[in-house]
Order: sequence, then C-alpha cells, then structure tokens
Amino acid sequence: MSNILKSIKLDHHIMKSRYPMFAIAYILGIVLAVLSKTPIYGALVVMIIAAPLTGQYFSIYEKNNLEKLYGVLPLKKFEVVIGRYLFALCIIVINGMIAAILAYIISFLTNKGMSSLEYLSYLSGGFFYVCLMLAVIFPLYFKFPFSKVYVFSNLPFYLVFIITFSLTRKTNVLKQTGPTAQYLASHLIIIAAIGLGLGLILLALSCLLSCALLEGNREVSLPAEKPEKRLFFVDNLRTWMVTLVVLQHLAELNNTLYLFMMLNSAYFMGLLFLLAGYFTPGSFERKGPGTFLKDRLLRLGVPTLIYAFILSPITRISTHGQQALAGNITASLFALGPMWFVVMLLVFDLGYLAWRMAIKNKPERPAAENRRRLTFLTVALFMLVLAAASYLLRFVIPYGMSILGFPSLDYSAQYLSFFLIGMLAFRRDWLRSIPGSLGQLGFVLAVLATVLLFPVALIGAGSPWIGHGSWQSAIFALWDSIFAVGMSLALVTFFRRFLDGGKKFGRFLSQHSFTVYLIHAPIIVFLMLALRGLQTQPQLKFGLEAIVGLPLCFGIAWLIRKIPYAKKIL
Amino acid sequence: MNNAFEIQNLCKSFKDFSLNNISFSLPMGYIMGFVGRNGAGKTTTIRLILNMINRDSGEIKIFGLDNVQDEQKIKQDIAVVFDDIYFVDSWKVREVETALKGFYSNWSSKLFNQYINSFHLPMGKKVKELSRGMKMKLMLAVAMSHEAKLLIFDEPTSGLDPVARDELLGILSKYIADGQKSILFSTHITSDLEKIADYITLIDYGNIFYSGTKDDLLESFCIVRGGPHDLTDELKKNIIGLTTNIAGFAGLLPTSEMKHLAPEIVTETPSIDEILISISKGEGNHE
Repeated sequence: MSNILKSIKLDHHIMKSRYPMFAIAYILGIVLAVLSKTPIYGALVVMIIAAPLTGQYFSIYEKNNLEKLYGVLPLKKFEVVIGRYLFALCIIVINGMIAAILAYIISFLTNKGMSSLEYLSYLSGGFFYVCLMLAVIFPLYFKFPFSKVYVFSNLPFYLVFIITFSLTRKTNVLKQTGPTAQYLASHLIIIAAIGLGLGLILLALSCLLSCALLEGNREVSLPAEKPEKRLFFVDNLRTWMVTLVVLQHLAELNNTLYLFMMLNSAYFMGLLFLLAGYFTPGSFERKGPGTFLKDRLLRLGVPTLIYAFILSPITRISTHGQQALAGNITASLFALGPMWFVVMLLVFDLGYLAWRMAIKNKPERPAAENRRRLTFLTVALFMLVLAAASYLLRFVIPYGMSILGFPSLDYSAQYLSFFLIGMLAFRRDWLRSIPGSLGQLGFVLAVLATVLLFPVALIGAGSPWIGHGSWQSAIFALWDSIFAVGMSLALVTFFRRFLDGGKKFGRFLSQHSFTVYLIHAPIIVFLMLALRGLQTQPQLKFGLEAIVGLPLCFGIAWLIRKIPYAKKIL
Repeated sequence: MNNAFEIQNLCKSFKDFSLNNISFSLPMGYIMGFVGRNGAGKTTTIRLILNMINRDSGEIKIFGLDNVQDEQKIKQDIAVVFDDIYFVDSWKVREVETALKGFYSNWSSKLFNQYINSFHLPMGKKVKELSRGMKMKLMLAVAMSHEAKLLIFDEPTSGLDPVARDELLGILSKYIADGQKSILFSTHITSDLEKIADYITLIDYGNIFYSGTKDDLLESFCIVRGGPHDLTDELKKNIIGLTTNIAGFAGLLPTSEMKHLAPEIVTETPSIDEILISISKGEGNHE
C-alpha cells in the first residue's frame, strides 16, 4: 500500500508543471455557466475537460524517458498502474468538488438555483462520463505511445458530450423514454448512486486491463514448459463446469436467480464443448477410427439411452405422478433432459470422424511443430464473427426456444465453433500457452460487456424477445459472444494458474464429473421433493439444496462407478 | 566468492536481434567493463537485469536473489546511470531529490547535498538547463545517495568530453573503495575501461565472446603482423579479424597459438579496442 501511495506522490511531482492547464477548464466552465444560465453545466464542462488533462502525464512520460526511471525504481508494475488510476481519481474528485462549489456560487449570484439532489445527480452523471473516458483512454496510453493515440482516443468522447449536451438542452430526454428511465428521472438519488458506482467499477476494470497490458506476455512457468505433464487444470475446470450445470438446474427448479442462469447459459455449455473438442483429436489418434467410433457410441450413446429410457421416466413420474402418462407419453416420459449435450457432442464427434475419413486419416501434426500463439486480434475478430452468426441464427431460432428436446439451439453457432476451437487449441497447444494477460483481458471485456451491453439488450419499452432480427437481439448476440469468449479465456488461465493441482480429491471429482452430469437431474428432483415442505425464500432453498445435492450427486456417482463394467462407460 | 550478479543461459529474442544463451557474473567489490559495439546486446542485457523487459529463458540473480521474484528488494540496492537523463526536465535539482528519496530506505539527503556541492550542480536550476556532463553527474548523485551496492552504467560517457570522463572515473574509483560495491560499466569507449575495470565481458551479436579478468583477456590474445608470405593456411584459420593488404596482414591471435608462429611475425599486446574491432571483423571466425 505504501508503494502505491509513493507512486501517487511521484505522479503528482511529475504532473506539477501541467497543473496550470486546468485553468483553461475553469475559464471555459465559468463562461458556459454564465452564458447558459445553468451553472451546473459549467461544472460538468470543468470535469469533462479536466479529466483527460490527467492524460498529460503520459505525454511527460514519453518526452522525458520516464520508462527508464520506472525501470530503476523499486516499484512493481501493478503498483504504478494502480497509483496512476488513483491519482486520476483524485484529480477528478478534487476538480469536481471545486467546480461544484463554483457552480453553487454562480447560481447563488445569478439566482438560478437547483436542488442539491439535482446537483448531485448531474455531478454523478459527469463523474460516470469522466470515468468512462479514463477507462477507455488509459489502457490505450499504457499500450501505445501517447502521441499516436491522444487525438484519436479523446475526440469521440468530446463529440458525444457535445451532442448529448445539445440534445439535453433542448428536451428532457429522460421523460421521453420507457418507464424504467422515467422511474429513474423521478428518483435522482438512484441516478447519483448508479453514476458513482458504475464510474468506480469502470475505473477498477480499466485498471485491471492496464495491468494486464503492462505485464504483456510475461513468461511464467506454465505447463507449457512441461509438455508431458497432465493438464490437471482442465480436469478441474470440467468438474467446475459440471457443478455449474447442477447449480443451474437447481436454480431452474426453484425458479430463482435468473441473472445467474442467464450469465451461465451464455458460456458454460460452450466451454464444455471446447474442452470436449480439445480431447477429441488425441483420443482419435490413440484409438484409431474403429475403436474411436465404438468408444464414442459406448460412452455417449449408452448413457443417453439409459437416461432417456430409465432415468427420465423415473424423474417424470415422481414429479408429475399419473399426469406423466397422459397426453404425448413419448415426449413427456422419454425426454433427453441434460443429455442433449451428449447427443450433440456425439454428432460433432461423428462429424470429426467423417472428416478424418474424408482426408484419409492424415495424422494431426504434433502441437510442438504447430504452435502459433493466440493473439488478442484473433480473439476480437472471433467474438464479432460469433456475434454475427448468433444474431443470424436467432432469426430462425429465438432465444429460449426448445426444439426436439434441445433447449438452447440458438446457441449452436457457439457450441460448434467452441468445439472446433477446442480441436484447434489441441493442435496449437493453446491451453498451455495462452498468456495470462489474455485471460485478464477476457475477464475485463466480459464484465464490461455485461455492464454496458447486457442491460441495453434487455430494456426498451415493448421490445420483442431476443431474436427475429430485433436490435436488442443484435446487442444480446454481441454481449453473449464477448461474454462467452472472455469468460472462457479467463477461466482457462485462472484454473491453469491457481487450480492445476492433481490432488486426490480433485482427481476423484474429475473422474466422477461425467457420471454426475448423467444422474444429477433425478437426484436434485428427488431432493426438491424431499424438501418441498420447507417454507423459505427460494434463494435460501437453492443454497440448501446445493449444499446437500452436490455431495449427494458425487456420492451416488461413486457408488454407480463401483458397479462392474460401469467404468467402461462412465 | 559472493557475486554482485550472476547471469545464466539468458535468452531474449526480438524480430531482428537475439541474445543467445549468455552467461557471466561479476564478483562483489569489482568493476566490470561490458564491451561491445552498438547493437551488440549491452542495453538489452541491462534492461533484462532490471526486469524492464521479459526474458525468454535463463536466470538472473542479483545479490543471490532472483531479479523478478525479488525485484523490489534488489532495486533498493541498485542504481543506474543511463546515457541520457531520465528525470522530468521541468524539475529543479532539489525537486529530483524530493520526488525520489521516498522510494529508498537508505536515502541520505546529507550525502545527496554533498555530491551536489562537490559536482557544482546548482540546486535551483532545472534539469533541462543542465549541460550533458551536469546531467550525468545529477544521475550519479542520485545513484550514490542511496548507497547502491550495484551501480550499472549504460554508455554514460558517450558524448562527454575527456575531462568529464576522467572526472567520472575518479568518482567511481572512490565509490567502490570499501570493497562492498560493484559496477557494471557498459560502454563502447574502451579506453575508459583500461584505467578502471577489473573484469571485462565482450559481447558481439548477442553472444558472449569473453568474460573474465581484464589481465587474462589482454594476456590471452596478441596482435600479430607479418608479410604476405608469412600467412599460412593454419594461421588464417586461427587469426580473428584478419586484415590483409599488399604490405602484409594483421589480426588477433589467441596466445595459445603463438608457439607455431614464424620468427618474422611481429606480436604485440592488444588494447581492448583492438580486441573489440578484431572480434567484430571476425564474426563467424569465433564461437
């Protein structure tokens, strides 16, 4: 902490010579406050102009070879970055306070008063905008030379501000929007809280992003150094994904935690397909076409049949009783349930087998000869292509439409592409070699997309549900593509860094995760039936069922795998 | 013997240059000249030592500690003088101290003032108003005010006049007198090193050509000169940086090969400059 304080102090010393430049912001602010007869606009202008002036720091840095100074000083890179953001935050807050006091004095002198709540909401709006500016601009400054990105990075924000300013001057935009926005317009304290909170969140995320950029492709002792070592982190990641599947279904049964479910379904099955794709070529190489086909049918086909013809009817009858036998019995009794994933995987595997046959079983090149690093540009392009594909697919299959027992076919572009990426990751050894900084970047992008795009996709008066080519559907597709790719990168690098142990317990969980996937549905249904007398909050009930249900699933999976020959399938 | 630093199998690749598996070390209490022509890899090595860039592989230990894991601890005891000043040009000399002293637990304002006075640096003058020699002295004052145990110089004398260079060498000799401090002195002006260096490391095209004591280096090689007829095929193979003309030939020869020389061939003790020039010319002739 003391080093971060020292870093802030150093930033202050470096910036001292540029402080007089802030006078420009104040002069413009005061002139505008007097001319517009709305002093708070003056305060906003001061904030908007003063914030990017903190970027002048990078100009001094570039001009004075300060890279060398920071190379010599006993400071860690992340301390420098955090110090820089905190310093900028201090500048924003101090300027905001001075500007607010000046605005108050001007309004007092010109008799153009405003309630303090209105003041606060305007200032928090200004604070949010300034934080957004810095959140975008600072990572660019950390990554590229200041002189090359200064104009290009600042100009859009000034243009947006001027346009917004002129629009809001003429009309009360908030009052012309949907009920949510109108509700906010009448509860200014909420606007103030959202502005301040979101601003701080954006700065924190941007800070994380800048740390990742500054660290660059720092080499750490990755499993890449030990090619023969088993990728325990992938096993652990698969276990975690299966755990999420169980939690997702528990939330569905309890009809609660909608946000958790939406966020989960945006990426977790895709990531499971990616992991499955990663192991497919290796399995094919080891076993050859004939055994590969036999193995897939045995390990994927048989469990599906067991689920559809044994577990599904049991689950259905225990929940619906006699009703389960009414109407279309085939559809109600013999459902695919969670095994849709296994069926789809079997189709992908058979597709892979057919392709290998078509290319006359040309062997996969070893990863060592084929290693090409995954770059951010490739990732960003993939996000956009996936978003476009998902948007187009949802013209035909809107979000949430179940077809033939497949509950999320609108995500099939993601599933197929992630499966293929898994195979590419095997060829190019990406799981071992993707830099940790790409994982951090992925996480930041996932959170940013969730903060900025996700709410936009879901609001809007009278908007149709996601699909049918609506603009909300486009935003939603962009969000879930960024989120899925970002979270996958973040989780792979996080598990590789922190959860790469091959401890006995971890291996036990990983060995039983597929069986848990197969059997969890009836177990959690029975558990819910057992707890139906418990009258409490659905979230609390969900928590309780998770605590009991997860160990129960793994325990029963352990017992099932004890059955002779079961391990050949599970 | 304790080492100030130890570099083992260090590699770093760029698009157009790479540092190839270099290893060398500097014992505590000595001055090492780090010599090579421009672009040989001196600055890259220094930046790797300071963890300003990430290494591809290898190990760097400073005072026995890993330079990445223990970066902060190590940097308390390291000081660097670069070829150009790296303080904000609008700072006054006294502001340099205000800005930097908080970072070092061993910082002594008394020492800083002493150095500023003895170097005749005006406290109220801005960095941008100082001459090149004065800027170098200011960096030196900062470097020595926190009692750094390892001083690293990256081409500090390039652009300095001979008087200023001589002054610098005098200051450095005094600084290491207690035997607890070491200096890595990177330069391509080798005459400076003839006076003060105990060890020499020669680097060329990212490879270490020699690392050891200065005396061993000067004793390990000799300059040979002879007429056109004295140049046998055997000699051609052994000479590093061979130059020939109508009058005869000249080049650098390992002293181990001297016993096979014809009596007409003249031998001389080389200067570091001559060794540097010969290895640069003889690239490919040596490992």
